[in-house]
Amino acid sequence: MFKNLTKLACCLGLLNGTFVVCSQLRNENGHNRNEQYNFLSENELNNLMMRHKNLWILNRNQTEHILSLMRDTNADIVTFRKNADRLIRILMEQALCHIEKKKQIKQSPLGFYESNEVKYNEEEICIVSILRSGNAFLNEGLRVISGASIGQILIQRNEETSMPKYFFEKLPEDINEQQIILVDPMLGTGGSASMALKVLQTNGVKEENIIFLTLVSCEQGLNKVFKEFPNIKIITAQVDPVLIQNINYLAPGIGDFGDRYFGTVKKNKCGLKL
Amino acid sequence: MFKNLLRIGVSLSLFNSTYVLCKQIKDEKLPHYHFLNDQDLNKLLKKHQNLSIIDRTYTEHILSIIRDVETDTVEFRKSSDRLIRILIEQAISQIEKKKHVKQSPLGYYDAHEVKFEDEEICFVSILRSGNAFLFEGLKAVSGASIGQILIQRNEDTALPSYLFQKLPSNIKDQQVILMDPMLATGNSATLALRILKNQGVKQENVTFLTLVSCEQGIDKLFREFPKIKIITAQVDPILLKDFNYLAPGIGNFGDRYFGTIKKSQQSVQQQ
Repeated sequence: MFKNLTKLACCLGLLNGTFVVCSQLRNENGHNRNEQYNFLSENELNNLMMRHKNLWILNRNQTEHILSLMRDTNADIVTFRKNADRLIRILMEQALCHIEKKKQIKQSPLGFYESNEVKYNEEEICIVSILRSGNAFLNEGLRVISGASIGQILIQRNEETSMPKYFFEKLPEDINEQQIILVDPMLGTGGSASMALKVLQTNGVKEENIIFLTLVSCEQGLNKVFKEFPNIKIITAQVDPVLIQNINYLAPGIGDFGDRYFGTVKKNKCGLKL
Repeated sequence: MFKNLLRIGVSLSLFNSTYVLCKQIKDEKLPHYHFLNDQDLNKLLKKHQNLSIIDRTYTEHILSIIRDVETDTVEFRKSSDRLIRILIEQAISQIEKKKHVKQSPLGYYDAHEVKFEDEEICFVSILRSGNAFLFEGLKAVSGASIGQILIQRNEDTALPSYLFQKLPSNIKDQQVILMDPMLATGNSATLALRILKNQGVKQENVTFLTLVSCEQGIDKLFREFPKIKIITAQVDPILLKDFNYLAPGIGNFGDRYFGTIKKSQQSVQQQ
């Protein structure tokens, strides 16, 4: 019996040893396969902002923590949504800053003061979302501007050709007179965004009245959109360094925002999709 | 001068009386719709076991504000959100629960909790109007998955056409709550339910939520899918034949919630 026990122990020891060695090998390979992406430095971001005067990148202090939680593949859906909503709220407030204000004199309890309020009624502000991912912005958008009109444009990117395809639109009738906030979480190649902007242009909207909000963008996308539409304003939370060529995904990026926010992909697939 | 004042007074009063008369005539042209009484509603409930109509006392006030043509966008949204929340809570109450024993600060108690995790519940909205349900849906079940099916009704033929879908990959294992504010002919809803069937979803796992419906729509859905559950806030008496709109109805819910139509056109649209 003693001999059997020793044999059993040896087998277990060998099994354990092989497992440890294999997992180390796998980790090493894994480490080489998943590259480490470094973010752009302050200098590079400042250069970008100097080149495009209508571009605003949110302060890193505000967005670092939130974006870090969102980028994590292990983030569960509730955490992802909460943080996405926080970031979207920050972007929305920033967008409202850029809408024209008018000056008036008003009365406070102790005396008069100069008031600077947004010139337009809530209904004259229109949030246009690029379905399907852009719809995530509407949740927080309606909390900030409860009377805003909402327009929707459905553009899907063909997974093989990476070309955007237009499906459907529903926009307010008087959209050519409104202040537009166009929303889409990612700005990769800029294909879907410029298609949406063309749709707005055909409906009579002027470029100066459009503010484009996006969570993560990249230099190529920004350049493309500004080349075709130099007078719009773009506000982005962060600019990522790399656009992976063949799949046209941002890196490190957030993965597929729509799938992660709406929960249409199982958690363990998030890593593969990248 | 006195005579002139008298003349001005007479013409003003004539003006006023013609205005009042004209206003009355214009209002008489609009039909007056009466709601179904409790007996009719009870008959409907007995005919279809899987149909729930929310108690009138909950919904009367809110629906009245939503139906009012004078209601502005903010008020419309607030009231719709309240009603949608009531419907969603009702839907969740009908999901299977399991029993176990848990501990409260003073002793043990029988716990009845929903058997499924948040992520196993999926809200499927029929774009574009159904999207309005998602805001409250996420507040109630923060971890739910969301699927979307885009079906637009062709304004000339009144037939629905399918444009686009994005559903979770494991939807056949999930409890599905399908949402669309209006149930009129039942054509869009039937199309959406067929799409869900193609994806492998079982009928017993589907609950259909709608704000306002009518008998024809409910009959059609139950004929083709007898095992789904339908929860509606109110059943309207009439389906207008030519435009297939409910009467008195809410008008076009999507346009009113998302503010894509000018207010002056609202009363025209509703007729």
